[in-house]
Amino acid sequence: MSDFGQQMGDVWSGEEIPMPPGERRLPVYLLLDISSSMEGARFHALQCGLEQFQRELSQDWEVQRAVYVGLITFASDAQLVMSGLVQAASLQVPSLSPSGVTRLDRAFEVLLESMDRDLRHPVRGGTKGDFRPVVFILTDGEPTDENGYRADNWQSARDAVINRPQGKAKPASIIAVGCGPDIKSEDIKAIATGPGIVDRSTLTPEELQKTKQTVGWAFKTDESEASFVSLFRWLSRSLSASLPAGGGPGYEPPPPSTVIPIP
Amino acid sequence: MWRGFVAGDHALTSIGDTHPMWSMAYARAEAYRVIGASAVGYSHLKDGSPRDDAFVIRCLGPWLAVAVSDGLGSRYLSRYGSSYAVDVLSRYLLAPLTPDFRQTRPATTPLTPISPPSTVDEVQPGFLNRLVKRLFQQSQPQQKGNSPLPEAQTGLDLFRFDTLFSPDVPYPELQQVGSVSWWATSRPTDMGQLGDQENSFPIIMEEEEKLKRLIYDAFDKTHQLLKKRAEQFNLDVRDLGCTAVGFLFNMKTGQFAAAQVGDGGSVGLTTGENVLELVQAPETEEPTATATITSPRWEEYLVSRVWSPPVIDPFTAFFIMSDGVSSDLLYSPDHEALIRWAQVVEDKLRSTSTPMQAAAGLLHWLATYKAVGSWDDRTLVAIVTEKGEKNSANSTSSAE
Repeated sequence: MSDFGQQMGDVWSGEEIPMPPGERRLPVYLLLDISSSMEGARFHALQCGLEQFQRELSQDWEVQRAVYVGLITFASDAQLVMSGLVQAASLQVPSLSPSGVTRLDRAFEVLLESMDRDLRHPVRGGTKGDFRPVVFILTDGEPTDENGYRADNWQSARDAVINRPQGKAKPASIIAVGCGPDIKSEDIKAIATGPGIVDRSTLTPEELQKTKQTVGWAFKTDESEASFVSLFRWLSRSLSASLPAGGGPGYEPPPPSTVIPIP
Repeated sequence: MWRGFVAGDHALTSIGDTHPMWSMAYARAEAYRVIGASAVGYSHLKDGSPRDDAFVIRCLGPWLAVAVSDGLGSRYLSRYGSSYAVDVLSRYLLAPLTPDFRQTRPATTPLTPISPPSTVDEVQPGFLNRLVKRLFQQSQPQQKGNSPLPEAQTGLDLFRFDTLFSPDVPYPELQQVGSVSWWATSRPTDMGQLGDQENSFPIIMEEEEKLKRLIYDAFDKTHQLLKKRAEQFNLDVRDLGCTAVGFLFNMKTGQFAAAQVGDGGSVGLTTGENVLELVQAPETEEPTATATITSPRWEEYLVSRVWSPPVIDPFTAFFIMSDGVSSDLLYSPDHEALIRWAQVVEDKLRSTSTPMQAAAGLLHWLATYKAVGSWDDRTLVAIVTEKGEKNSANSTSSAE
């Protein structure tokens, strides 16, 4: 033992102190628009971004063990790909193909189902509970109904995710990113949440019109491959850099220049 | 007037931020070692935010009070709440049990001269400095590309004692502060009575209802004073949001009580090698949320329990902790692993050559142990019997 070690004397190492097993997970849901408007270069960019996300997560020992990813794709319907939450260390980007309309409402419904089914609650003498999940949504257009017409039915589905009954977990944050020329900033802002969850149910109609419902988590980006790669790299590094209990990504590191906050 | 000591974190005031990133405290009291340590969490190290946990150990006469608090991570100034909460809670847990300090009488007999200590605990002068520097090395910001430092992967690697560390490497951002005290235990003349030491304190068991009321009043006082503190600071009381875990122990009778609002916990290890939760916190509305002592509904979440010293299977050690530790210990199906943990920690604390080194060992372990998803501040206060005193921690020391 070195002099330093001898001086440390009885200082303990983690190997000497056995800890009960168990892990506390950080669930991250990716809600990805794979409607027909995403075809072509835009979809290829999305695939590249996902692969970058997976690579970045695998470089951080802590993140790849703690982060569990739920991948939800939405078009004419929505599905939780891989049938549940997958540890980031085991994440494999699935083969996807774009088609259909943009049922954001179904995406929120599938998200809610997964949160109720797949998230762990803390049980003394049983399991550690999950951190509040982080939700990331990427879309290139307006939310629609089953016929492809613009619809606002997604708002009630989003409210159900945020305004949970007692005893149910809520998302730490909903990060919304719009890509391409067809997005409307108001839609992206309405989808996202601020650093704190905004409870729309408590706002009067007048307040709803005036209140900035999202503070900080609405962004837009262009549809280039480089921008998508930067976006997912920033998302993964934000998770790695800031993992407070119950929290979500922070602004450290700051988003790249291609990911523009919507004020 | 009863004598005692206070050790641990100081309550933050409006004059600057003096809350350290790592803190440890230790004491000998009666037949016990009381060891406390608090380490900033990895999540805070990564984003540069301060430690939000706080703890205090307070002793007067035969009574020992421990308070632990965890400030809400969502409130940047919550450490101002937690550091104040542990100060107030520990004070008001003891206040009703100790004589009024204004009722003292002057000594009537000459006191035996007491020599000041001539030696400090046998710890190398640079020991703690090196320990904290090593801790800080793991908190260094990651290099470009977010690739980890060579020695500390995401700050989770264990200390490598055989890895050379140069004391010449400057760490101007990190400074060590310490204060060490020696306190004289109460003497018969303090009570205005002649007699031997053992008869200085009334060795009686308090009524359970009296202690329960005492606990409620202490938590109520903590809540009220936190509200006033927020007003003084011109803050919303939610900015000081924090949990509160309290432990009260009579070192003579073995009677004790545990209470809390919010997460965290307290457990005891018994001679029969069992680990029992001393009080169980109720479930909150949301699984990952916690109740706070600053909440107007704090009374709904207060849980407390008074224990008489069990005759069968008495306790040998107590552990009071914040959520950063309790979430790693108490939420596993492997109860045997929890028992092993308690036994190993008790043994290490008792067998370490000095209480100071025991505290350093505890702090080191808290700051560095690995658990997936465990990034929060970690605070743990342990009460174990001194070496050679391995009867139960709360057996009575007198027939009365």
